[in-house]
Amino acid sequence: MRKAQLAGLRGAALALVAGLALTSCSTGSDSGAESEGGDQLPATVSSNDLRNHALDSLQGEKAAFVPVGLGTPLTEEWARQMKRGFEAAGMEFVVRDPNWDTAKQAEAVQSLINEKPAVLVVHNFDVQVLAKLIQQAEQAGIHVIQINMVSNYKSGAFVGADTIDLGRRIATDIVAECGKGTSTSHKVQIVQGDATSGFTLDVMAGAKQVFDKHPEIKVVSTQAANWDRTKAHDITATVIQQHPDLCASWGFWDQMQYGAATAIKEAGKIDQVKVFTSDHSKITCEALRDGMFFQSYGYSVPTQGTDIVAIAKYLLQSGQAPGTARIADYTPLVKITRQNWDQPNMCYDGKNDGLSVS
Amino acid sequence: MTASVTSRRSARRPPERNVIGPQPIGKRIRELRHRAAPQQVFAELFEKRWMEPAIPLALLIAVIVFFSVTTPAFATPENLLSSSAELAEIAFVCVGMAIVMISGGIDLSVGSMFGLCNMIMLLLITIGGVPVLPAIGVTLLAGAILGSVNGGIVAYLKARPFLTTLVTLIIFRGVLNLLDLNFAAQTATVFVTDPVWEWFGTGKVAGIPFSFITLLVVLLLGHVVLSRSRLGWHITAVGASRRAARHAGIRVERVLLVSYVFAGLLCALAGIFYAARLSSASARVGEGLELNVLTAVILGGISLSGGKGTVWRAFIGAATISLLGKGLLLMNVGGETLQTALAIVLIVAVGLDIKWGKNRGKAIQKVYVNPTVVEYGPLPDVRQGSGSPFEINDRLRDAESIGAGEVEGPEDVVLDRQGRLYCGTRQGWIVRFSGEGFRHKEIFARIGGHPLGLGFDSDENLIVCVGGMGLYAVAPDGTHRKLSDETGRTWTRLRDDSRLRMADDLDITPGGQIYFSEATTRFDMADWVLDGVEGRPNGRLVRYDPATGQTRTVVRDLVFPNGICSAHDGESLLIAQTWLCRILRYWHSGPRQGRIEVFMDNFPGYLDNINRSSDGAYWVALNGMRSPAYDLAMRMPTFRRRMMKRIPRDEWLYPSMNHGCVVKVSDEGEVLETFWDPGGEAHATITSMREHDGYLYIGGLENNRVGRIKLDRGGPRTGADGSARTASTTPATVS
Repeated sequence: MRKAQLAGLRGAALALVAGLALTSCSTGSDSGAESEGGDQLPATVSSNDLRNHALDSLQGEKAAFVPVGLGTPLTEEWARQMKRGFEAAGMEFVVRDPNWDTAKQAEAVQSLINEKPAVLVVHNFDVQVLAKLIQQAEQAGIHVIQINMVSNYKSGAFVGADTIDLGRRIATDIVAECGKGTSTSHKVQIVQGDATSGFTLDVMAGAKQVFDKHPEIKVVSTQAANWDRTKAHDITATVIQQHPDLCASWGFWDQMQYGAATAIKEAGKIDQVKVFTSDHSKITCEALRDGMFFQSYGYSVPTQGTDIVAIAKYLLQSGQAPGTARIADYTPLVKITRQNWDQPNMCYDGKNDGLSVS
Repeated sequence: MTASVTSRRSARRPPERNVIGPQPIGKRIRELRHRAAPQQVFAELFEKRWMEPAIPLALLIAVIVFFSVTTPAFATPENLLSSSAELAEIAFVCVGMAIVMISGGIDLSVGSMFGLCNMIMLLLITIGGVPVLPAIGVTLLAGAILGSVNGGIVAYLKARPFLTTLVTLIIFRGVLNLLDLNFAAQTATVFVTDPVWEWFGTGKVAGIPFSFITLLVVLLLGHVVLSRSRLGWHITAVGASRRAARHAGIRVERVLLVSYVFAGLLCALAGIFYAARLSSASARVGEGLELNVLTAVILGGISLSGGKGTVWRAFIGAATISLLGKGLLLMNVGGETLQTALAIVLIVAVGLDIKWGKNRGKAIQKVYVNPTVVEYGPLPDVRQGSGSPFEINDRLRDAESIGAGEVEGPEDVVLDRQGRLYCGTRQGWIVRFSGEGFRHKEIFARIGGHPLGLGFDSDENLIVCVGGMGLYAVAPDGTHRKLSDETGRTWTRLRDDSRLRMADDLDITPGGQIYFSEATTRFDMADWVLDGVEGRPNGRLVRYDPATGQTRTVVRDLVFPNGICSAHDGESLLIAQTWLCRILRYWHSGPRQGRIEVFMDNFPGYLDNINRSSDGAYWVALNGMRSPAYDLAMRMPTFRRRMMKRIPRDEWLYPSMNHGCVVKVSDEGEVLETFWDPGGEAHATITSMREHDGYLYIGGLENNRVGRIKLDRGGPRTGADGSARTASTTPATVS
């Protein structure tokens, strides 16, 4: 009886070992192919085979987008471009809208990890909130692409403005307007987005590099308006009272900074205080036209969506394992001023396609 | 007239109703249909206290079912597990809010406290470099302090909770913004790799997130504290009525302070788990949370006016809100829609809950009385000259009256060895008449309730069935004590019937065991006649053993057992069933132990008490007479149901309770003689009679006197007063 059991066990063990060897072999070969990345097809592959490969690796896959909140031209434009691109490639595209709620955003990403789409595009609230989840998503085999606001955890790809350079450029422009050679108070107000947002942190880092070299610039106020127009308005209304001789107000997003500009206009100082911002939705061009903004930087928002689609296509076709690449696609920065705002395609309206030219 | 019926099921259950002749199958089905009582189950179910959150719970189940069906990704184990971690955080805050609301307050600052504690925790372990466990301790302390700020202002400065916490909401949020601006950026780049911290964020016990396990522990603790501890009762009392709580000596200020501290602590706990899960030191955390939490808590059915609610209700509300949000998110519904959906759900739920709360009682009342089929044999003719054994006479017309106008509702009468007369009254007294012509009246004992059946035990203690209270004993010196007020619960019934509602009549066997009837377990003393409209087997025969003090249900499912009488053989009891107009015989000992037979049936009226006579026969009281109309109504339960629905209660057809008689029956079940008061002037409704010394004493539930007539036949001087000593075939002489 006991012997028979032993024999049975031995048999089972053998079968198990054999099975393991087989699977390990197969996974081994798989990972080998992946690490080579996209080289499965020889250069001499027929056009038809290439086409089939390209279509098959996308067809029926799912891409998901989790912005911080829909309802802004920025996020709507991204969603619009991505929807068009992904759906044209035969993929399914879903948007999960946390409506500016950090916890909800984490929930949305968590639920997507459970659903395992092929591609996940995230727009990080801050550098921490999704860090662990992005890692989990990549471990679960999802290609994660971050857009514009980066996380502490860098996923396979990032698409967005080169925010450090953006900070440097705007700071340099401010120095030119309010720095040593000018007859101004040299006072600058900074209106941040969320203090822990990747965008804020990077722009601040770029700004610091420039302002450190120009000690005459006095940053009189650095406050976080959390991307909210009303908050920006309220903060600025106070700052302008305390510093009526303010030289420049720099806000990190046009939608938010419009509130600051309004506060300055209400204080009757719009001709004296130069309002700097970034992004180039329709409101920027209008504000430049109306003399509310002094200048802005666009970062080619309409192409960002298509860039994401292109990168996603590359990742899926290459057969690369998620998280094995670390690439960043910095989109072109375009300075928009009161002089050039009316050139074609300077601003996007979230409805029509249009590309800015550098 | 004697019919022997071998009862089913180990002879413990009586034949439930009168069986008239051979039954065709259709009639049998009809009877079975009316015996089933879904309405009764409904009424008894909804009477339960734990059914109060039925609507919120139904809503939660509806949400789960809806999303499980419509959203494929919803009902997956992964989603439910990750949802449970998210749910845990909001549920902690909801429980905190619930405790404050139960104490009669409101805490709008929960969102700010939650965000601030999240920030404090992250600052401590990143910039502060504090080890995780002490940092958790400090954060909890911080939460408690924040809560005590709210509580202190509300309790000791007597500020209104709404305004106070609205202000602290802004203050705490301001502090949070300051911390955010000055330190958050520095926390952003620090990764904490402490395993304890990891465990708080992603740890699982048996696959379930640690935060959810903690939530379950908190819920259990919260439940015990709220429902079983002095503190919990004080919180509820303060919330229900602060003034009454103060008058009761509760230290209202301290209780209020503690409830706000609880809220702060729970917010801190939620903040800690949130911090561990997401490490997001943002000023946004917890923004607008108070509205979601308030929605959840109200949805769960916790009253805004205080004094009402449980932690489970808070949990139900939190789960509904949380899963609704999750489900809509999975359906790719936008954020604004989510807010709108929450608002609609809240309005619907609150509306339903109010309707439910208002109409639950009415609904129960409407369906509580639940008639069934009761069949009777042909109605015996009682008219004069009809030649029936029940023929009307005027033998009670000349009855002497004792204590006329001095007693109210002497349901039962009994006499002691000295020939003193005892009866119970509506006021809850036992009244004793003594002396020449029973002219001396005294209140022997004041028990309360409505004393019904009486009987003396071998030590001259007066044993009393008290309607609404139970079984009591009154010592010869007039002091009374409770013998029993509960028996075993019938586990197959939803309704807890362990308390004795309506102990009716008793007798004591030669062995000293006290057997008593509980007429109905479903209706109170004031509504006893509704049991007749219903006609269901709601009563039981209960035995109290004076030696062990134990109470046991001997026979259950009896239709209104009223009079109990230990038979002359000393081995059986006669049980008079009012609505079935019959007498059962139950053997409690001897060779036929446990058997139940129908001793006599088809009386022309409704039976009340039954007692032994001195000559080996029995006295039976009829408290009302059957009528053809009501007999017909009893055969037609749907008619009675319609009657109850359509017309007001005082116009219902009731069993007629305004005319009765005393019947003497032999040990063989033959009617020997009857005693009537045809005009019904002195003794209309007769509920009891007791033979003593050649006299018959007569009591009535609605009477204002005790009657006495001299029995013609010069029987032996006996003490056939129903006590155990005489319960034998050869009556013992007393005096």
